[in-house]
Amino acid sequence: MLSYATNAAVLVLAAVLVIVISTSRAVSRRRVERFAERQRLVVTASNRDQLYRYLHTTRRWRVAGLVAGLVASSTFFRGPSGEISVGADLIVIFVGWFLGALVAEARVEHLAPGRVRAASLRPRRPEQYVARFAWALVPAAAVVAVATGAATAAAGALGWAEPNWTWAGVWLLVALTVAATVRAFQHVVLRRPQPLAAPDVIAADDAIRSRALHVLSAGGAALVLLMVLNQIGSVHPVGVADSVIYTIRILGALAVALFGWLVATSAPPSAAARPDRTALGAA
Amino acid sequence: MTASDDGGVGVSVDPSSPTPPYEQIRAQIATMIEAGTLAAGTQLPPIRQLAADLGLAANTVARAYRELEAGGWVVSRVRHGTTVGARRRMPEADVRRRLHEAARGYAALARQLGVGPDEAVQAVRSALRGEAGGPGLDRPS
Repeated sequence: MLSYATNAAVLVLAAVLVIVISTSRAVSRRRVERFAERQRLVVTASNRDQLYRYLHTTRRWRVAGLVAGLVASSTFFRGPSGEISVGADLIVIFVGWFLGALVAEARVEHLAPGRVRAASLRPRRPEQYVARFAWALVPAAAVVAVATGAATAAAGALGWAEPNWTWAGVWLLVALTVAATVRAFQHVVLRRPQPLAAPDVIAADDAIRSRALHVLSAGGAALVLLMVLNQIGSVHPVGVADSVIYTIRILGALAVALFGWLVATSAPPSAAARPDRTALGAA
Repeated sequence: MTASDDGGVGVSVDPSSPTPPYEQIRAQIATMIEAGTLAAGTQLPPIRQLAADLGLAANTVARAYRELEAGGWVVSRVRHGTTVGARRRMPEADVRRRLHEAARGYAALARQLGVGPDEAVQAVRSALRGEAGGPGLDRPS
């Protein structure tokens, strides 16, 4: 028992060290350049600090979330020859990372109004920052969760499955809660203050907003779809082996991870696709 | 009224002005609509967006929008937001007259301050570009 406690203590200590070391280091110039390249942004003397601060905040909280997820999901077990092994749940690690990403977005510094407060009369729309498809992902994933819940109920009522009703309900509830929370955060990002400022500062703010919405859309949709896979795991269809369901869940999780990564790293809407800033976007 | 650096049109609020912020916003938007800078059908930003950008309470901007709506300047519809209503544009002569009135006032102030014509014109150019301590140069926190 003592050895389990010792291993747990070492793990927590290592996690704290990783968080401290990774978040105390300055963001590298290469990382800022990569961000600017992806966002087609020109780094200037006016917006450089803004980018460093954003990347530092997001890295700090995402790493903290990732490591917290790793620690929370770690389980120790004794192997056949008596050695102590450690295992981790990838989904819990992802949940930790995503929670860190949410906290980071809530803590990102926004542009402050000047002495004379001034603002553009141009409405900010999601499609300026993220593709319509990506913006629709989180609600679409919530619809999939509801449809899965309805299908589970129907299959249970018709005798085609023997669902675990408690878990089916829990996963549906979790999926909808995640979708609602992520949507709320997306609106927070969209409504972050953007007082009038120099064009390069506004461009950096737009790039930061775009990046945040990509991460929230992809991560949120992926998390909801992982909950859908858990819903599927609670269906227990009659005549279908558990191993088949397990395989479906594993393959589904890999597909969701790949899909999420592709959306998160997709290019922002091109400058040409963004509304003309010289016009006020007549409805 | 402020010409934003991104080429669009904006509003500004001076917290130290005796004019209430909602009235400053209302007056600027009404002037832009009257002058045709904001065309009929142009969508205004949501109340919460403009309030956040200006660092004001949402109620302040909501009141400005309500007054604009009461005056027939804008139309608010659920799920469509607030758009500029159809309205007769201010005659070109009136636009010029108001501009010249403001210019005369500025010229008088420059003379009182002992500022020469070149410097006064330069200050106007900077202000139009959002420079010289204007909001355009304010740095993020």
